[in-house]
Amino acid sequence: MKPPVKIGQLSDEELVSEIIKTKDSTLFAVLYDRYAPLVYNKCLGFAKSKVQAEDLTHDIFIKLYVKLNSFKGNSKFSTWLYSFTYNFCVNFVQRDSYKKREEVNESAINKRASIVDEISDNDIFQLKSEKLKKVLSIIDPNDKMILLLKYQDDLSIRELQVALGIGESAVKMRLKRAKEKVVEAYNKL
Amino acid sequence: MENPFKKILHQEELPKKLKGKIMSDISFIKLTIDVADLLVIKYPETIENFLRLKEDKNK
Repeated sequence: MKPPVKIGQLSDEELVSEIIKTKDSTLFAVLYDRYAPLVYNKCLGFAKSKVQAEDLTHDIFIKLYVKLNSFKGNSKFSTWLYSFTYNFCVNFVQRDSYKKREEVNESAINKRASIVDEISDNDIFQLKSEKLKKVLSIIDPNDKMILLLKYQDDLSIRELQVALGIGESAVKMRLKRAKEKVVEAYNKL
Repeated sequence: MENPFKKILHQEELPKKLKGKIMSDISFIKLTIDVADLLVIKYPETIENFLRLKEDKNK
């Protein structure tokens, strides 16, 4: 017989596979304790109020419990959870503002042609955080997602590929476009 | 150089009451799944096996 392992000592990946096997809600509570504050703070970045962020966190964890078996262990659990959270938040934001976003997108595409040079990480790091916060609330949530994954959660290009399920060149292209949009919106503010 | 993205990360405390609400919802979902599993999969399986046993005896 295997010696009993303390639940607190299990790695995230082991914990997740145990939850998938047993559907045990006490194990899920451990996972909740580990990640809920992180998820909540990420939701605050997308929600308009604290109450809305709480609702989002609630819905994310319910969906997480049901969809946990779609985590195949291709990446770290935290990476997977970040993209799961962002996807949920982006869907939430887009639900209300679909039409509005389309108009913004078109005008952005037309103007984007004028920017030719690649924007480096240093250029991005020179942006002021207060203004950046405002800019992130204006731009397309999909661009916001990829920028946050890259610069806030420090995901590599390889990890972004897995998290978003797209190829390397697609990741680079989306990052480039997102950076262009941020700088463009930043300069307009 | 300092990363402005790290600065805009929220540092709010998570409300304690949320956990109870989420866990009770999770328990309810688990119960629903278990009951559905019992009625849709396990019961029919048992009945099928039972009938098959009878059939075998009759042969």
